[in-house]
Amino acid sequence: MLAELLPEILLIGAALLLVLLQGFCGRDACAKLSGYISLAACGGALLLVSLHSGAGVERVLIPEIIKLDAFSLFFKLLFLTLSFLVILGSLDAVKRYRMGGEYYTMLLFTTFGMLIASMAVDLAVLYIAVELATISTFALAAFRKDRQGAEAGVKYFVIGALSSALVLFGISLLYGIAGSTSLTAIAEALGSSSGPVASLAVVFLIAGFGYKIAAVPFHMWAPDTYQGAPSTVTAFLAGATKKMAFLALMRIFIVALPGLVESWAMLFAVLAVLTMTVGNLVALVQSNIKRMLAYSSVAQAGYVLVAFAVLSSKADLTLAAGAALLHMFVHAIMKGGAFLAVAAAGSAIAGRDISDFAGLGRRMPVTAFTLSIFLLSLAGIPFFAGFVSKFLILMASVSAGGAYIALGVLLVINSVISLYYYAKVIRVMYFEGGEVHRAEEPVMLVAALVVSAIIVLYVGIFPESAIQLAKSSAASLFTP
Amino acid sequence: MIQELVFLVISLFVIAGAAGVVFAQRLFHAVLSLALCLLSVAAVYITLGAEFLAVIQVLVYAGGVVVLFLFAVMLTRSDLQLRREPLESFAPVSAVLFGVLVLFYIARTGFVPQGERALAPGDVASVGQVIFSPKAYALPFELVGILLLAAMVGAIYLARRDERW
Repeated sequence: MLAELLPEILLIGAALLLVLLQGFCGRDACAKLSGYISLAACGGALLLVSLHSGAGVERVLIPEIIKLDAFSLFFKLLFLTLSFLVILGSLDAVKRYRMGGEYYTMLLFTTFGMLIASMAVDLAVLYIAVELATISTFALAAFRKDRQGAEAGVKYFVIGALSSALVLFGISLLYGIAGSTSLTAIAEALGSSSGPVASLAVVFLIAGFGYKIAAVPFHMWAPDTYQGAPSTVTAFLAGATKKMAFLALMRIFIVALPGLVESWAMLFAVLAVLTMTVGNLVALVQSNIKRMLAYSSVAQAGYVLVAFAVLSSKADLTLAAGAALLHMFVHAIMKGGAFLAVAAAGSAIAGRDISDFAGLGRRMPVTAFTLSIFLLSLAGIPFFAGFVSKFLILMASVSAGGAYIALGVLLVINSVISLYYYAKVIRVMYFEGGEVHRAEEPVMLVAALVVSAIIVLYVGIFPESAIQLAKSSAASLFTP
Repeated sequence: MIQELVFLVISLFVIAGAAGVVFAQRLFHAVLSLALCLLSVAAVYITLGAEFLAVIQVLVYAGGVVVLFLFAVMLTRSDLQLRREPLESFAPVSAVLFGVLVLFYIARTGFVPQGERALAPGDVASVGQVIFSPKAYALPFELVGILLLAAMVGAIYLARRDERW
């Protein structure tokens, strides 16, 4: 069992080492050393997980508590890739803002929590792992101790605590029904009956996790938090921690509550429509690039929810779940990359308004070029990864037929709307701004950007293997 | 009958304490109301036969957390008057509506919560068995330890003044 948990042990070991380290060296040296240690730990864990993932293993580590299957390996790959990229990019940002080594400690704690959450098949473990990851990000969101950072941190903390309470209420109702926190035991106890108490639990769970994924009636914290947090942290929040809430939703609803699929899928459909439309329309009028990306993140969560809604149909469920998984992975890379590009631009540009980015194409060519790739991918232009995953969601909704097609059509309409605000940034970067001087681009951030851009292009041009991986990972969710 | 009566009285105290936290004008009173609320919850645990949990509740919450709050309030600004925004008119209405809805849902089904196992009164040993057995909740228990460490590191970072490095 310890061999399978090696990535987690590596991460938590490094995190504990960093906690001790802070007492023994000066601030800047410590931050630098912590950065390299956490980069090495994350890289090592990523390597271990990617070695595992090919084998198609399914290992029950502790019966009814944690399980290593293709689904959890997929998410581990997502979380570790993004953590690695964010830590790599942070090596520059931490130096610039003179942030301490605690920054990396919190990142490692969060990543550790997310990895455990990916394996949890018990509500107690899942809840605590999600909490572990969330609590660590509260401090990260407020890491720059200025006014905006404080606002970001407080909003995130209050909403996070509220949503956790809602989730816990839902969990307690499920425990009351089944007398057990194990997901399979809950599925057995519920059977195909949909009692009122169970539907109440569904409502609480969707509302609680709805806050965490920033679906529309629950999204108001996201723009403020994403704007006030340091850009590297925002990349992590939008890319990784949000996906953890999706992961928890998929595990709980598909494994424990398949009997209530009619009612929860309908709620997801309503949320999907609201989330896509409101997210995109509000993003249109944003002038701050981080707020714009935050609303675009809201809209993209809506696309994933479309795939969730399709799960109630009679069509190929692994296609719908696989499409959701692939879009989460692709979105993590491209949105994480976009926020990292904003962080890179921050070394030469003081403001975060879209108009401040004028002339970035000549000033910081690599940053601007990679940012354009991420934006085009977010818009869903062919030959970029975002197109592949969106197309897969569209395919799932069309093959389900009936009212699901309407969801697909709405997705396409929303993609067209979104093209406007993504393209606006590219236009400003390349066609506006007078004479500008070349600025030095932060090396580590550029490295992270280039790696993300390569992933986005690779998945966009050769999508077969990524689609296969996502579908087989989703399939493991349906086989008990 | 007598059990239900006791439960009703205790519940009234829980609700009164919770309402006091929300509506108290002075911070100090809010903290005292919180203590009332938490102690009454401990009483609920006793009526359910979970004595161990009740003791923990008193020790940790009423004993530790509330005292810590009181210290913080008294050491900082005990004269602090809370300014309250006038409540939006629809907020209490929707809260009451939601509460009625939940009550209606649960009452209509005759929902009887299932417990995992009934503990004999004062049976601390079996609580320990469940928490520390690797097949049960040992892993979440260890995770909570890491969670607390992460919360502590984060809190210390946020509370620390940077210049003192």
